[in-house]
Amino acid sequence: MEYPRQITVIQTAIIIFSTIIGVGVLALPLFAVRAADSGAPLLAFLGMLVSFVGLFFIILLGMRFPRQTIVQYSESLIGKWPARFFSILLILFFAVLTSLASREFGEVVVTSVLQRTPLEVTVIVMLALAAISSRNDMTTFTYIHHLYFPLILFPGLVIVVLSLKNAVVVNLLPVIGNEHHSYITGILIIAALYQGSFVMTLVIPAMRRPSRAFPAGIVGMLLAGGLYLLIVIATVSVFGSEEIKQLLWPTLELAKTTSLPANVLERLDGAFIAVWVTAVFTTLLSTYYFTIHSLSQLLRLRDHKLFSFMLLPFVFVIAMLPQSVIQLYNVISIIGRYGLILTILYPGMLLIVALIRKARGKSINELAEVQPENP
Amino acid sequence: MNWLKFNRKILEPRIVKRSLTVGLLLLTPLLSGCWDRLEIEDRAVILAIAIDKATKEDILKLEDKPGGGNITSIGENTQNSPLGNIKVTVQIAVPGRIPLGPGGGTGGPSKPEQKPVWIMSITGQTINEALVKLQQRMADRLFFGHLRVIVVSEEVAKLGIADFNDFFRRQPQIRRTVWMTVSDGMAEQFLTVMPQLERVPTLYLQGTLEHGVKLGKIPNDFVGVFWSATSAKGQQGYLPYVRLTSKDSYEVAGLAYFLGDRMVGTTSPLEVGYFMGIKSLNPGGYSVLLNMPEAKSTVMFHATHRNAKIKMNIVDGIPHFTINIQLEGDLSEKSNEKVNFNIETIKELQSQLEKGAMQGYKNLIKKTQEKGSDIFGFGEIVRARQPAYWKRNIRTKENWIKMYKQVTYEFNLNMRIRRIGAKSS
Repeated sequence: MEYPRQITVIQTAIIIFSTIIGVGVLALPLFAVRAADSGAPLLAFLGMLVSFVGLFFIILLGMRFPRQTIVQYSESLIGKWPARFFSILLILFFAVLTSLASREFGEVVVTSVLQRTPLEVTVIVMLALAAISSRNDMTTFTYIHHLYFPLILFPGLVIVVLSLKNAVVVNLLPVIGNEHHSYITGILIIAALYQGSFVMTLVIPAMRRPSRAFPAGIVGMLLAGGLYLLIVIATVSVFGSEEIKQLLWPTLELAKTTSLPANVLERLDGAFIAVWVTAVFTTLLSTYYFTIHSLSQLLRLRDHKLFSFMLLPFVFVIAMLPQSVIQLYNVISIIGRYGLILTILYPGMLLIVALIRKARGKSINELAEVQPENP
Repeated sequence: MNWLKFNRKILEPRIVKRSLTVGLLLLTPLLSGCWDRLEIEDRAVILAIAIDKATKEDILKLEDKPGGGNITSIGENTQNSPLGNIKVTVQIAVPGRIPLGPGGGTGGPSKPEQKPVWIMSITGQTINEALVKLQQRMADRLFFGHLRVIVVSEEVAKLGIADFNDFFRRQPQIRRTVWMTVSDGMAEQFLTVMPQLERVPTLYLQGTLEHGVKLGKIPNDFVGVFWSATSAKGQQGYLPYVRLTSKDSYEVAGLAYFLGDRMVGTTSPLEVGYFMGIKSLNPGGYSVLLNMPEAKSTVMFHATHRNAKIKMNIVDGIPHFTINIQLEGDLSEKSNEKVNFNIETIKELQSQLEKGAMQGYKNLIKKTQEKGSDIFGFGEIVRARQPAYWKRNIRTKENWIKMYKQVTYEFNLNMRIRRIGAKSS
């Protein structure tokens, strides 16, 4: 089975960006500040570098096997059964990631916006949206991301820039932070927020020119990382690191504190939530798409539409498992950190095996020769 | 046979699809129903909250009758705060009576006996308990999204406001741009005063504070700023301090400065000017009287622009601050026609100003040092610029309070009189 090779470099970058930017935006400054107080921006940057390593592995693998996803080429690299075991783990991990993201979304909405709407409703609406949209092929998937990209990036930037009105530079110093004992854990927690970039493995086989996956990955990562960094800088400089430790969703508080010039809007949290819902949707779409797509590849199915509604109840039930918002965040930080084994170490291992065995997939050259625009 | 045919027909994919679409369309109105719909007239919109210490009479008067309905207690409650019971007064907007715009209009809402707000009091052990009890007595759901001002009485502020900080941070409807002030005397008076300039009393109180910021009278110190300062390790919080001046007017009478969550002192209004000078907050808003050299005449100097640079170094293990302040301003009044402004007199006025201000700045720092209340955030400067020193010697908020009492400082002042108004001399 071959995808239509239509996705451009810019579209790939956009998919990476809008997959990474998701629910995590709200709690990100809290995670970063807990680990490194005023060093939070630096920590956010280091987290990006760590997760970039994972993306780097994925891209190198993708370029070696430009027609296959990780589920497919891992079988030829490390043998059928070990590969299947890891693929199942990956699928489970992304299913859990989807449920946790939708649950976190539900918690935010129920706490701060729609206080009397049942949590189940907000979660299931969001999951259903993702499930319905995931019934499309890769091209439509890309177009959905492409459509929402400006709606996420630009309002996000505007809110950050406007909030800098109340910024205090002293809050950002010293750049490395005052206390360092939980730096490593902090970097891992932040890196876990970038795990969405793993969908790259789905995108590469559908790219018009997989050889240009690198610039796409770098641009997407830098855009997402840049926005994350800006958000951390803005929240830390406005609130100060100690105050952020008291807030569950510092970014939402930032939007609440920020007003449009001339009091057109006295608080931007409404606007922010609207943007953020879009961002959450694109993230859920990607992780859910990855789950069902990989599952159908694992089972050698031709089409993934079968699973789009079949998996929904399971994902929903997992989302309902955490008992309280405190437990939810504990689970998120644990699962996120251990997930790094799957999204960074596992591809790293595959890459080493591929390098040692000099394994290579079929190139797309024969295909490229047919297309007139690729000489 | 007929029914079979029929059956096969409805199983045709086109028809299945179409009927599904119609079904979904029919379901849409159900889905779009909003759980959180709350009409504006069904809300009790709280505009302001005042918090006082409850007296015995208050409790007797406002509490439920003995043996009457228990609203909030299960088992024994441990009251740790030294505060005891508090009395919470709220100002609720009455829908339909809030006048839109300044115009009186014809009849309608401007009848004097129809107040646009409703004032209710209640007592409780904590702020949230009081509000829960209040909800019990209120037909409509309390709504905090439009809360503008929180007034805390000095008595309560001195006993500690950690409880309120917690509740107001936790309640998602309340914004960080709410103003919190400390009142001289009873806080509830500030909700009952009916000033003439605004018909909604809370808006007048809010205006007093917000316009104070624009006039350079007080720093932009909404509750979010206060919280950030209270949380920071090297800083203490401060709040505007308001005082009733007559039956229906009040003034901002300085800043109340805190140590942790307890208020420990107040400044005078002019000291707010000194404070804003050290913090480099603009615009300049205070005017001072100077003596015209060699004449029995006073001159009024009005500051327009403040600029401060703080340098810090460690001398003998103790932070030493060099504070360079440049102040610009105008002369706005001279009470004697016989003497004129010229370059010499202006120079002399400037040095007179420097001398007076120097004393003012030093006194203010000394005053706060006595209590250990670093409202300027000098500690944050140490934390930011000398992290190694901070890590070795300070690290916690408590240690900085001790250290702040010992820090040394020096001022370099540069006062500039730029303009003298529209009169020639």
